[in-house]
Amino acid sequence: MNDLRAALQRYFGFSAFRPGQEAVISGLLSGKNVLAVLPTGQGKSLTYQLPTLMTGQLTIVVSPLLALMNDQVQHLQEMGVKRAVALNSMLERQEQLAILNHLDRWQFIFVAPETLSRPDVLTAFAHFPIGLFVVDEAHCISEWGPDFRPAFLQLGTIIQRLQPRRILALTATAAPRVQDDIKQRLGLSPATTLAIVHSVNRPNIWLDICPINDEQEKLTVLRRLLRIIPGSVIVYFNRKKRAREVAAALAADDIAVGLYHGDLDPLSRRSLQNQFLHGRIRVICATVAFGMGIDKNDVRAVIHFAPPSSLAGYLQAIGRAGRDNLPAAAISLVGPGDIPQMLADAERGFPSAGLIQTFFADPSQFQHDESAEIVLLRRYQHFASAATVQTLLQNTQATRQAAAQQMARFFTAPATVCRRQLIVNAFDPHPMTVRHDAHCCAVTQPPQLFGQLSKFPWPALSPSSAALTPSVLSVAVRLKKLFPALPQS
Amino acid sequence: MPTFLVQLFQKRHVRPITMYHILRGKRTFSNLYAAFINDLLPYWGLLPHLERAAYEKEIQSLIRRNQLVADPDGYLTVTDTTEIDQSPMWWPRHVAGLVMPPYRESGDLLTLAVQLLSQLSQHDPHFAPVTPHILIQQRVKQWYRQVAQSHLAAVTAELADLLDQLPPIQALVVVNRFMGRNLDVASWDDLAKQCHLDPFIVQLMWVDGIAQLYTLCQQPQNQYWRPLFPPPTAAVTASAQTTMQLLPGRTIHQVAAKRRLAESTIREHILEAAMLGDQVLTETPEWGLAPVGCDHVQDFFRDRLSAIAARRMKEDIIDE
Ligand SMILES: [Zn+2]
Repeated sequence: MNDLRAALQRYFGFSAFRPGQEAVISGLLSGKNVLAVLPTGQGKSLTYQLPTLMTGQLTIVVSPLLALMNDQVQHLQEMGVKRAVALNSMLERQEQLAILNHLDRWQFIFVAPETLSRPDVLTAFAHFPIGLFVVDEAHCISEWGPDFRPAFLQLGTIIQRLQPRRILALTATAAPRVQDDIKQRLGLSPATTLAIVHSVNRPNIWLDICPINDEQEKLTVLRRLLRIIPGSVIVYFNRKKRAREVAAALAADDIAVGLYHGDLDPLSRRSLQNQFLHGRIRVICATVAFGMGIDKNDVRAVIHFAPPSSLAGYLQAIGRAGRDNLPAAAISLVGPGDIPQMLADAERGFPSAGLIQTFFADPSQFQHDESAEIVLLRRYQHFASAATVQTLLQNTQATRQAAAQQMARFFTAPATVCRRQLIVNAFDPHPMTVRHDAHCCAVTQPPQLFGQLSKFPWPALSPSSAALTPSVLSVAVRLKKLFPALPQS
Repeated sequence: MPTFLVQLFQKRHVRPITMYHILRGKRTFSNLYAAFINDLLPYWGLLPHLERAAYEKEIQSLIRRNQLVADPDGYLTVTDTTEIDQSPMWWPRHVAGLVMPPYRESGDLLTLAVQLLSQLSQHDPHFAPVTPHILIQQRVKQWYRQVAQSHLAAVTAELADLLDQLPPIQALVVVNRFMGRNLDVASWDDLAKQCHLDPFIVQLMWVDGIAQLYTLCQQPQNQYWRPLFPPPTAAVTASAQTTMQLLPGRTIHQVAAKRRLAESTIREHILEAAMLGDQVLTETPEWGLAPVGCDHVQDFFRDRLSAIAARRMKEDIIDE
């Protein structure tokens, strides 16, 4: 496999692969389809980037999130790969045409599933040879809750139409049942498909659950935690409003904090990510959107201020800690109202049978309705009949509630139950037995937690890069920094 | 945003939904007419991404707090008791949405051009363009090759000179939203803190600054930056211009038949030209309108035409 290593060195400047990468890439290069389950932080995108650069054929990457797509394109362009583009609703019709009429100009096209199922887009792609068809976050086919996008269900048909040479389904967390779903719905037959599954376990991340009495105490505990934990921290919320409040409170403590949510404009998002990456912002208060597509190795802790809606979501989030394989912590602050609220959220937002019928009979009467139920139905509008949608939604709702209940059990199980074992059992096809001790996981009251973290083997802080200049500068200084080599008038 | 909205409604007579469409730049005749009659044309398309729900929430909250009052016809007015800063601390004075390319597009063009200049002048070919828009990327690349590449020093000098003509605070906002090699944008929040202003106002300042730079670039001495932007757009649509070219010597009825359009459309074209064209228009017998009092639709057209004329004469007097 010296050729692969040489290519890795040449295109990315790395001398060694991360676990699983090499197997996925050689599988693809030998002509197989691959289902790859690699834990977050193991460089999933490299597994399609390298073969694409080596073969020079067109790669289509289906991606569920706009922000994620743009981050991937940005990342490639920073590497010097200019022939990468995101085809999505952010582009004008004219721009989309410019891409579709000249597919030969591109090496990587990132596309949202909704865009890809459009007839004009499909027709353009059908006339062009596709080397590799990548389904990123492939678990979305099976478990997508209320954000579930029915366009994912169309991918099987789309693959049949486009006949790509190879297919790569990527995910960080997929329970065996979900893996079966992915294979079946993408039409990946056992004979042509290689499944490469790595344990979801991240041994360097210590797991802690900390029961909290009320929201006020949560903030107090968080403040204390941020004094103990050295280095970068991501705090996850399930409500934008709460994230904003806590970020404001932390800023008042003079903590370098940033607020990240899905509605940020691209420039602000990029700025925030860069500032976090280079250590100018130490703490990010984020809704679930943050972390996709940024590769920061030295996040020392991920703190959940509110419980995520599924164990898979929890894993995705904590996977952003300790990518340098040095000790890191995943801490969940769980208040008395949190679990009931999470379970209630899982029930909410699903339209009744009556509403589904009314909507499908005449969608135009809901033109200005922005309620969660109608927004959801609008996504289904072009994909199925009212009856099919009702069945689909019932299934999705049931899956989502089951996921929430699994998450609830994770938080409420007796203190003696090993949380890592619960995760491994839920996601690994052949679960190992975890050696549980104080360095593995714990359920702690706040004082114990502070004690544990004070003697935690934190690695030395990496010197933060001072390459980026902070914040607001005067016009003259900024122009000088933009164009240092040129004489200024 | 609330203060800005109250100031927009002040001394005006507009339905909230119309104001929304004006701010988003949704071009229909009735939106244009409302904008013209209420002196709102400069703010046309000022907030193209304003969300309906967010806007309505602000309006409802202003009504609850009695800062705006809805009259029986659904128009909003500012209450007498509302304490309004008569001269707001800062107000957009250079925007002219109807005759400029969209601000976001001009802003993206400028930001990407500066990024490209900064990175390439420091020999850094590997960078991700700030905007994902292909057409903007293409336009900037073309501009770079045709204009900037061989005159780097002069191009940056012209940029510095252009920024120098902006009010200092706006130059600060615009220049801090540029990025380049090893230089990131400043966040709206940081800028707001620095300027002691609301982040919303800072964003408006940026929009107004972009509009100002766009206008400055149209002057002949600014030869390097002008080709970066699309030329100004005509306020009167091509279709209305065609109507106006056909109209002399023909009745409205004849023009409608010739163009296979409804007579009401032709009347709207005339009103559009009357509002946005070069000249003040008044009714001529050639148009073949029914005598006053015979047809209320045609009378309504007459009323609007004279309202427009009256409004434009007033403007002319103010201008002098
Ligand atoms: Zn354990």
